[in-house]
Amino acid sequence: MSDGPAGTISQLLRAWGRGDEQAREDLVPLVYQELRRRASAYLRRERPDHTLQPTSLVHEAYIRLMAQTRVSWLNRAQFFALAAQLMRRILVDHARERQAGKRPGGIRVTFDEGLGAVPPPDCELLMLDDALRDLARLDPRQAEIVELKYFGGLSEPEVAAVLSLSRATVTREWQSARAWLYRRITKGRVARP
Amino acid sequence: MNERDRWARVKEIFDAALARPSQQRSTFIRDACRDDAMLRQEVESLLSAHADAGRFAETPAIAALANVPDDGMAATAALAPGVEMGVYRIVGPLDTGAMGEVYRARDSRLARDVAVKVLPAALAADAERIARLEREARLLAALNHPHIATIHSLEVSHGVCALVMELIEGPTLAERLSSGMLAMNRALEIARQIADALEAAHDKGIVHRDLKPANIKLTDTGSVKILDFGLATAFGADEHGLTTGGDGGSGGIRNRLIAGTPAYMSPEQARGERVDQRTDIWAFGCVLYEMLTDRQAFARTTLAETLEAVLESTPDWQELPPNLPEGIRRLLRRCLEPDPKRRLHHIADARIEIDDAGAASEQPVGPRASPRRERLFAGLASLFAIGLVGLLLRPAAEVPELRVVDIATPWTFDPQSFSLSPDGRRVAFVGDYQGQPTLWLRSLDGADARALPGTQGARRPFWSPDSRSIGFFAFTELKRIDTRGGAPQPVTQIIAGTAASWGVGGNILFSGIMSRTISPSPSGLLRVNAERGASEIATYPAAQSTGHRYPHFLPGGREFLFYADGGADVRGVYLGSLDSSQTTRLVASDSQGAYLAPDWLLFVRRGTLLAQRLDINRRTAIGDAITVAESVAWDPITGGAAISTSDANMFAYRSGHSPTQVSWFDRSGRELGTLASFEGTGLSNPRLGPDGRHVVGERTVNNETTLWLVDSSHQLLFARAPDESMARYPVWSGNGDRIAFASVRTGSAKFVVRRSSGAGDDDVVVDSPPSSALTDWSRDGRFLLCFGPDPKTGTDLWILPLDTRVPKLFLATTANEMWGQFSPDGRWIAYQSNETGRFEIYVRPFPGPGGPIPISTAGGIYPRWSHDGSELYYVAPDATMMATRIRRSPTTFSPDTPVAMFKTRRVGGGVNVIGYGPQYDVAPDGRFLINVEPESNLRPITLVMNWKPSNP
Repeated sequence: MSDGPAGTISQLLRAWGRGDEQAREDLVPLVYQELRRRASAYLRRERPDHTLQPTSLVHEAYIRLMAQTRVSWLNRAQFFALAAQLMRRILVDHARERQAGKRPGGIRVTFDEGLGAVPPPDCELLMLDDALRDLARLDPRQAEIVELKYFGGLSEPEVAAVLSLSRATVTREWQSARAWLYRRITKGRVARP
Repeated sequence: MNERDRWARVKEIFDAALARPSQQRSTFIRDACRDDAMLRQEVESLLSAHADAGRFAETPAIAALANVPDDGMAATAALAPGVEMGVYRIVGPLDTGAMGEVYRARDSRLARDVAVKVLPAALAADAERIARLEREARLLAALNHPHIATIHSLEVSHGVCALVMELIEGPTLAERLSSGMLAMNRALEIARQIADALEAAHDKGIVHRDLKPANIKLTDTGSVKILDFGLATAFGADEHGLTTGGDGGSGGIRNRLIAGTPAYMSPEQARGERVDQRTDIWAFGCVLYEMLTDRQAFARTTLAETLEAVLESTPDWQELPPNLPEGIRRLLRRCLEPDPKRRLHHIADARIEIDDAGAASEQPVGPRASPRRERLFAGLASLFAIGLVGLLLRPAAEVPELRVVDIATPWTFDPQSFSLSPDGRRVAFVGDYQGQPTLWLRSLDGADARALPGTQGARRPFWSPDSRSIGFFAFTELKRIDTRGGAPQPVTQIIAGTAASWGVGGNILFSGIMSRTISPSPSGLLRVNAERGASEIATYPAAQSTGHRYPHFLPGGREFLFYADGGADVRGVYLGSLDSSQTTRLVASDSQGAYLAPDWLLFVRRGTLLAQRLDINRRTAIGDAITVAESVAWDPITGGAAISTSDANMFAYRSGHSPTQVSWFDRSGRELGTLASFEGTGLSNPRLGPDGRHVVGERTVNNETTLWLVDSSHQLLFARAPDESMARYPVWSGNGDRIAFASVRTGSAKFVVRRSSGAGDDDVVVDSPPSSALTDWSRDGRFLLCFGPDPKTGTDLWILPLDTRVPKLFLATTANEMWGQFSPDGRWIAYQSNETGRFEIYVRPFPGPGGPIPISTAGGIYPRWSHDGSELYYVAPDATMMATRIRRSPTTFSPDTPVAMFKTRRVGGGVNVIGYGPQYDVAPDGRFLINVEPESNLRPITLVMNWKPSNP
């Protein structure tokens, strides 16, 4: 990304930090583009590189976009939240595309009773995305934690920092949210026509 | 209560229940929910979902997706969900991290989940090692102990070899430690259980050999389970877990293979000596020390320093918490005693000591609360084929002391392809992965090596000055890859490359052939920019030289060393500069030079690695050359030696190479016998005469390339080209009475015909052919066939009619056509071309026009016809010999789909290597004669640290 957009981005970020919601809207396409580029580069590889943690995608994008700006922690937290949201969109799109490519009929997952169901990752992702929308209605904070951790790839301490929660709270909330989602997926709607 | 409030209540009870031991949970829930049956049901179903969820959603989405192979790409996982191995059915990957491939599987017979650890592919292909592993596994399976992960079985199927083990949920001790310190009583409790497990194993005569926090699991119930017990021995080199490496170098060095992780290795293990249970006691001391201090006792930033620390330093006892019981302090000192004779002899004593100390204090350990240092040794795959060989060369008093360490690599036909990173922390090397030469990266301070995705066909890696990127040649490209991740990026297109060096500012100097910049062959060095591509010639070969190769930048990034080939008075290491065309010979040498700080020039003369001081300002080498190591592998054809240097006073070499062997194979790949064995260097590029008994080939001895005629009982020097030129590329006439060859000298060549009886005078049939690469002679004797480079059209096929003796272009496209072969009836020419971006085999009618008719479908090089022309053979990219049946009528030519015959250890593998050629031929009876690498040529890379001449 050239200096131009990066400059714009830091201005937008500052404006957003001051509470300008329009700035956030203007940021979205720029951040989306940057993340999408990184995500597809990562996914194109045959095998995940163990030295490159997937979590660092969001960090990398952040560092890249912030290049010359000093940003406050508040902005950083906001940015991560936004980035996780966008990553979710990117990954869901990606998984859908891949599903469409493989199975023209759409998604169909059979759970083998007692096997500790482990669906293929792209199914898991799509079902989780679905269930997460329901969770957001029930417990918005938990949904946010899941979004940051699962889609954004942030570690629990990072999630805690972004949401200004204690580490223990994040761990606890994650645990029950995960169980809720798992139950929702396995006991609830599992097949779409 | 609305839905949200109700969920808050459910969560609360769920959290509280989870915090309790499982047997108390149901009582707790009953009490907490009192008479609200719905609430209770809700909590219970959530708890059961929690128990079933396994690793659901624990892997970030992108990592999970990246694990799913995209269509058309190599499958990442050896085992897909649903695959069955015996009674085990794979559920999914458990861990794709440093552990290698570990899967969760369901044991259908006992209805339990197990962990399946997939062993390296190299192992699965080796029946002898599997047999040994089976014996070991049986022994290990007998280790039935609550604190040792049980081995259930060894399964070999689906082309993989896998160990089925008890599935243990929970973090490893390494993971636990990385999130904060342990309370002292917890640390001692864990140590007590480790000691208990070791005691049980030692009583049965089993030594762990790779005990470390990453091999210790902490279960949900707080109990300890040790993983990978005895596997270091099972995967070790021989029955003792030790291997002697033969004549590894000067001074009668004995190299021994050991497996382990440097920071937890006992001194005797680091020295490569035989180890016993006392090595586990040392590692136990390391682990206990780490739990108590939050520091690794011996880890340092580099491998050399770590080994140094293991061998010579004592842990910092000041780090121990002040309130640590005296008995435990004493125990630690006795465990970490460098002399095994004075070390604690039996682990039971440790257990007793810990019991005596009691579950003493409840305080957290120590006064320090600093965040944990970054872990140096996170890698785990240490047990596998990549072992670490350590030995102490000269236990002298010098500081820093000389260290020599051997690094084993997977099989490769290309022992010169390795490179140390400038910062001395990593080594990149080429080794086979899934049957293809692939770039591997290994950290020198860890024990794991990994194949870099997308680097198939890699040769001659070289590092960027910042040690972040690796450049390499792959097929017809020069590429680069970022070690932090990402797919390889093309830098420039080439025809073939031998070696490269990456200087500051993105300058890459390399030797090879590029169609765009072909000068009269042989070429000078080429320069390309790592970011921008685009190339130019950096040096022109002097008139007497037959080529400039193996560039090596000096620290400033403007001046560089290179090797010039040619006669005795030309051959050597030269100094060149990007800023001037002046070149100066520094030393006479048979191979490239490498710079070792502060002022050493390393080079190889007749297989001996020498060092001589360099005065760069005066552009000269000074003093005498000092012998560093004997019998270093080098390639007499290109002048490449297996050496590499880093900025960190460290260099590496690979020791000598047995001569290649020309052997007979049937079409199933069974070896039928060896044609002949030679001293020193083998016979290269064998060509069978029409009688199927006589063979002519090239040999390079003492820098002279000559032709040898060989039959079952005789080896005859057939042709020595005059004036120190090379005799190369022999081809037989149709009835075997004559042999044509190229006499190559000083950038020009002649094609010469001589009677195969040796009688009579040579007949110079072509005075200046388009190139030296003579590839065939039509059976009717009328045409020679060769290929040569052109600035615009790459390499082209040329016909040399022996009546007119005027070369005639047969095929020139913008792609590179090479290695043409006449069909026996002379009506077709088979050749290889990279018109699709990859070399494939094609056939065209001769003299044309017509074609091309594609033969290979997934890459192919070096075509050869069967004697009757009914089949066409070639080499696939993974070095498999392929055969295509040809159906013909007077008017048609239709090839069948190629079929794989057998995999070879053909010299050059499946890669088009400049200077090598086909290296195989087919006899009239259908047998194959192939120049193969002896298996014994797999030598480790020897790493030398802190080298200083003994008599400077």
